[in-house]
Amino acid sequence: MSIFSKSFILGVFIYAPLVFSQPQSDKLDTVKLWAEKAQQQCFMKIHFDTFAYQDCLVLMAKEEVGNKPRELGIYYFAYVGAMDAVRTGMYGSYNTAWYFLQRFRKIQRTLGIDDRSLCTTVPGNCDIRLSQIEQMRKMPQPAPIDTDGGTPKEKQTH
Amino acid sequence: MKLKSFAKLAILTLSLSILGCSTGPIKPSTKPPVDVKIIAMNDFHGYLNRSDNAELFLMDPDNPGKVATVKVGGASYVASLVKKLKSENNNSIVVGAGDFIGASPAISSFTQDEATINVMGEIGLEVSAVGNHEFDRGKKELLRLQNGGCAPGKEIGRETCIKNREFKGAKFQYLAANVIDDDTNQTLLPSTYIKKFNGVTVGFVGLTLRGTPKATRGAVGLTFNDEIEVINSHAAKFKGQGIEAVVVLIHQGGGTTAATLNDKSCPGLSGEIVPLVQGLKNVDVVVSGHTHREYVCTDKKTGILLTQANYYGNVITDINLQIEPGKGVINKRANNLPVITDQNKKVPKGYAVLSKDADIDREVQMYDDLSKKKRSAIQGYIAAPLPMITIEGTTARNNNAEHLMGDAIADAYLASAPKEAKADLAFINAGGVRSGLNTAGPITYDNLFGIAPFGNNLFYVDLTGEQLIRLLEEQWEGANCRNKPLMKNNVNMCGRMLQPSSTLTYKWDVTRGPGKDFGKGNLVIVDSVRIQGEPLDMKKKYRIVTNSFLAEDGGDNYTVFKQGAGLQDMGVVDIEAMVNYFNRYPASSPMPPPKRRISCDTCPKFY
Repeated sequence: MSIFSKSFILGVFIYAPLVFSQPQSDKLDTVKLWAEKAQQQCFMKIHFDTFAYQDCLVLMAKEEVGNKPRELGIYYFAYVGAMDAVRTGMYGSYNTAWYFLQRFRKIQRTLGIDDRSLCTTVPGNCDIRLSQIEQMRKMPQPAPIDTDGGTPKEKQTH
Repeated sequence: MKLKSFAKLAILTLSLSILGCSTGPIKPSTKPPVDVKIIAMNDFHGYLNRSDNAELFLMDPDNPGKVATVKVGGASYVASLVKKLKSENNNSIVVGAGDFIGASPAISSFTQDEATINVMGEIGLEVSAVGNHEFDRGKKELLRLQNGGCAPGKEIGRETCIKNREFKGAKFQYLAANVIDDDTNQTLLPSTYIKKFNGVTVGFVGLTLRGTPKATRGAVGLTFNDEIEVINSHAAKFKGQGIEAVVVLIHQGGGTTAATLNDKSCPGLSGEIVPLVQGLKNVDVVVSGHTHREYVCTDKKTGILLTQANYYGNVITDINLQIEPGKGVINKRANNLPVITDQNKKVPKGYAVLSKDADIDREVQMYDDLSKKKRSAIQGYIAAPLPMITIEGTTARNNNAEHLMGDAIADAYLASAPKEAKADLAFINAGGVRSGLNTAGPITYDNLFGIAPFGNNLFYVDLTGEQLIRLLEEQWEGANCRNKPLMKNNVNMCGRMLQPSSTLTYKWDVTRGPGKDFGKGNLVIVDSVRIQGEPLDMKKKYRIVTNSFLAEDGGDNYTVFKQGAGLQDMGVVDIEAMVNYFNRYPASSPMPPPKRRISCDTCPKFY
């Protein structure tokens, strides 16, 4: 039987994606799990201020350096969580979201995970989220918030 | 026999009803259901004027997948929206979930927040839970805001009792079901509020988070009880009294990962409010707050409708209940409505721009004028300039310098602590000193605001002598140095220097080499450290006053603050501390320039 027989080609088309997608789905499970952990550990800190939130997530990610899916989970949630603050106009949150966008995109590329699949790891409207990511990617880096000066003028209260 | 059959039927009916089964067609109620509207807000924080960067993302039907940004907030726009909503249903009530006051801008804080209490009453707020910030100035002050009377020690007509030189207290009722006054063993304020609407009754329970004492210094002499126990106890009583709907107003919240306003799929809801709601019984709606987020969710386990309306009056929740008399809530829905100002030229389809309510605008304007007058008023005098120290040849602030202005602010921080707190010293980060005072003479509130515009609350934190040395070393360690080398005569003068109060003096030695890793520096000459003139005791705990940026967050890489004990919000905003401090120095006795507290014999002449 020629390896180019119809049944072989059909078999490749049917089974190959299953074989190759398995590790990808494992990766996504890890991303999802660590996104959830990041949410539990750091999300409510944004309520105090965006720097506390950012520090919490960066420290968390530092402990997972080398484990790309975990890092991606942390940084992807970090971005989505920051965008929740951006959408209600929290001072400094755009900078935080932009910062995490750069980080998660870099790891996402390394892992070869597409935008839609990644989006499923943190609940929300993927059409909107992907459109926002696309828009923000085109934007230049925002002017830095002056962290030297203490918390911003319109810091969040609790 | 007849009796036996009746008993059997009764038992069967009771059993089935206990099991939640239907025993046949429900007897139609003789009275039609009543629609009740609950208009809810939270975390207003005295923002009578719109906060400068208050914007919201809305779905834009004309651009699928895109969002539109709108400017929102301001009391006069809130009033317009409330009026509009009330006009839609006579059976309506305006409610709140706390933090209407506290951590508020000058327009409100200058009046001890009486301005906000008055305006919220005028807008129609009827009942609200207390939040942690309602306790910022202590229980007596909260009771004064509820019951009326002028604030002691404040200038009548300008700082208190503004309208007709009197303050009548809140037109609305604060609720504090889980807050027990230790003096009376009773709740500080009522626990519940009951309102009848055209034949149906709604019971409200109002309370704040149990962790309030951790979030404010003012919560003393009070005990904060478990939220779930308190709510369930009142809700059961309500049901026993035949009250058809139970609404909880609570200053506690969560957050979602939603991308736009009003995403009712409520993606990724998390936070303290989740287990709290899941522990409730006999409750129909939970109006939440505290976390400044925005959501409308239905808890899958309990069916409870859970809402929160962002902050600063940017959003209002429109909750609609259909209540069957004698039965209960048969339908409930809610929408978060943005308070869209007329500064927006275009808004997405389905949204409308609001115009200002003229009456409320007039009142807000009156408070605004008052605050402007106060801002230009002289707060004190200085005998000599307190200039900003800049990096040689530039206009950039030198962060590794002792700034006289920084010294004065630290002294003001320390002076704001009551004697009984026994505070030993105070710090402000160099970056927190935004400018100097370049001429001797009078200082206005606006001058002080230009120096310290952050509105940070002050905190106590206790550090041991050993930790204090570590803290000082962090001034020249890791990122505080490495990222910003500052060469002078081949010596790296990098660092971020904490500005100390006069009660701390010390020497440091630059030749020991700044820029080591965190935890490795040894530049402070330990023997030279004096606190209130006494040598440092490494084991003793010292109470430090500093701002929230340092105390809470360990900002500017001063991580030692996070290791401190007894972190406590003083309930004092930094600018208030400065105003009170400079008030001590009239024209006849201006503030002398502060004496230097830090010295470095090995440093090149630098400033």
